[in-house]
Amino acid sequence: MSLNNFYYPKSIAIIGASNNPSKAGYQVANNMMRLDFQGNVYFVNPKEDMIFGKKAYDSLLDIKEEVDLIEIIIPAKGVLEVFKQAEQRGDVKAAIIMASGFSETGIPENIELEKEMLKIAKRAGIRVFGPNCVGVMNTENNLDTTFAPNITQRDGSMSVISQSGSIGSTLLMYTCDQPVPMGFSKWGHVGNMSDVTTDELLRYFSEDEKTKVIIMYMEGMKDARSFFNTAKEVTPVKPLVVLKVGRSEIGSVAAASHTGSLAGSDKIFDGAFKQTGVIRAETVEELIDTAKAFTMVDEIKGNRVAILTEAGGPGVIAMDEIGLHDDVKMAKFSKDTEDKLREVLPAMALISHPDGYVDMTAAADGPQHAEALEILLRDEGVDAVLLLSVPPTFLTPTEIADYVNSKMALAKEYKKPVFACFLAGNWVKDAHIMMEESGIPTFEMPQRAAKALVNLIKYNKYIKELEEAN
Amino acid sequence: MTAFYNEFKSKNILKEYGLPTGEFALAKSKEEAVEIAEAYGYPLVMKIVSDQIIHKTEAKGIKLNVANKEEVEIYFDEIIQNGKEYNNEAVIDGIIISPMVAKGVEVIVGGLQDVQFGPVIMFGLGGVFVEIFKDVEFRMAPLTKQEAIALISSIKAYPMLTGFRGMEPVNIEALADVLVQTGNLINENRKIKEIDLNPVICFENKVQVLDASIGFKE
Repeated sequence: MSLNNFYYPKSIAIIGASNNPSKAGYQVANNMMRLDFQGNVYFVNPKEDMIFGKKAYDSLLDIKEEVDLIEIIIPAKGVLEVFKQAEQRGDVKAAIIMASGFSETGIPENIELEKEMLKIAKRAGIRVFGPNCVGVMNTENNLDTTFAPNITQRDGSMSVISQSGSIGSTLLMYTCDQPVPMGFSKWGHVGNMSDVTTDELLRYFSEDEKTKVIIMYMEGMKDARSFFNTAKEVTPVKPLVVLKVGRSEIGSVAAASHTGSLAGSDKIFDGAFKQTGVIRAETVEELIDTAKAFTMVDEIKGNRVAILTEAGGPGVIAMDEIGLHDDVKMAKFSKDTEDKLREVLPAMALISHPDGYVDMTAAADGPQHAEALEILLRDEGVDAVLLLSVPPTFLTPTEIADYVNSKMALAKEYKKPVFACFLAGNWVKDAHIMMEESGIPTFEMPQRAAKALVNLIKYNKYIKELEEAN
Repeated sequence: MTAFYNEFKSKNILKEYGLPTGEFALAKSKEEAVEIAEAYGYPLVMKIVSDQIIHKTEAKGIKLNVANKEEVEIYFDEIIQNGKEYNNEAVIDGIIISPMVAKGVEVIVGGLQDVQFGPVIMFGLGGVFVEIFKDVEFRMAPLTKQEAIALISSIKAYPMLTGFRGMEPVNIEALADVLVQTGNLINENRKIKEIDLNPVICFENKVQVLDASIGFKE
């Protein structure tokens, strides 16, 4: 079933919109106005006449125009009444319930309240997000039902599912701080999943034309087998990257009490991820790094990586990460490649030492970065190049970035991704911006660049093996 | 509660699912034991059969390399006696007899009904690899042969199966079949809570389930 009524409503009624900045209802109303949601917005609050310069209705029943989506921000005890009004109206198709105090508490009467709410919703044909959730975001129509105060909406090709509203918002804020802000397509937090589940959201995003990669923050699953079956359907269509907590015993306990669902045996989750081609990220940084790789790279042919570095340490760190993963190999250069590299690089450069590794040394200038990159891209035994540089003071980082960018047309022609990491921090920020603008994903540290590339290759391998088996 | 089937009953179930159990027979008396032993030839393995005795080694209920008719007779009484001493309430069905198998690489194949995922398969190398290093991996059942092969190659000790330091490489295809069949067994019989095939011994030409225990929901 489509979730378009949540993501593309023509009109929304915010029940519990407020003029009091300390209330969630203020932030939600503020987000609607600030972002200029492309649809009609109605505020409902019997205690107010005007909210953000708009008329405040006493009740949902007072709105004469059509309402597709309602968002309920009032406390749990008032929720049933709102649903009864929505049923009476007959036009409401979807509801987001922000209030907590339902099944997540484990208290029998609260569980009963959730059931009662669902009963009315089913009868009235209303789909439900939550309770205990902050809802949805969609950059296509500037929709943001959350109370996060300052999420910048920027079009992108990543969609996000989060079992934590705060981590979900944090992920978006972090993507804004990338050299070129990544942006996103759609975002969802489903809370208690009384009706709409993460599985349904996964399927919806996998069919979304704007979404290239789905990322997910997971604490636990009420029905893990259903997630497994869903993931198996989704990953052949779109890459799915999951950050799942509960790797340690302590982490598991915290996660279980947080969402009201069991965090489960992590080893079994790990097996389910591997079996379905889900890429598991270990940290928030890796989740975003990997999403960046998938949004910026359309294709990679194989698993043979060349590391081109201007300094030993960063190169070794990157190679160390590559070496941890059996699915990824260091490339074996042709004799011709080695000869050409020796011709253009400084005399002390290390070439194929070990295989797939080129240390140009700190004597390498801008043109040498570019020429070496071109030689590697032209080698048939190379599928991707990881470029690392610590720009010395006699060369500005942006100059080197210019030289590197001059080879991007070639990289695109050969369909060979180039991943880059210049070191470090603000000194290289402008260079990273320039490279990302020309299609090179950049990363803060060499290990992170390597891991993002590894994840891209792992997914590619899963898809290839799937195609070969069929 | 889980009730465990003894090795004899468990292996009979495995046979129905096409799992390689090797030859085995149940001797209810000393006379039957001798008859079976003479038919198989020597050396043999004799193990106690009782639903109440899961840890046969602990109960001193196993004799390896049984070499002749006289030993069969002596060990039959000894094993039954040990079993009674270990647990005097245990119902002892008899003794399971199988031909002795050469040394090979020992692996563990497990099955369980997980609260969240339902039927799940576990695989790992036997001995210290599972006990100390916990080098095991899980997959959801049922699984395809391709998924079974991926499961086998995903454990850290995988090189031990491919001919490490001159060791005999293991028949991965046959091992993958065992995983697929065990997956079918746990998937099609939701009353089975646990399957423990430990060890499964692997050679270049074949694999064989040496010991098995199946736990049911009571």
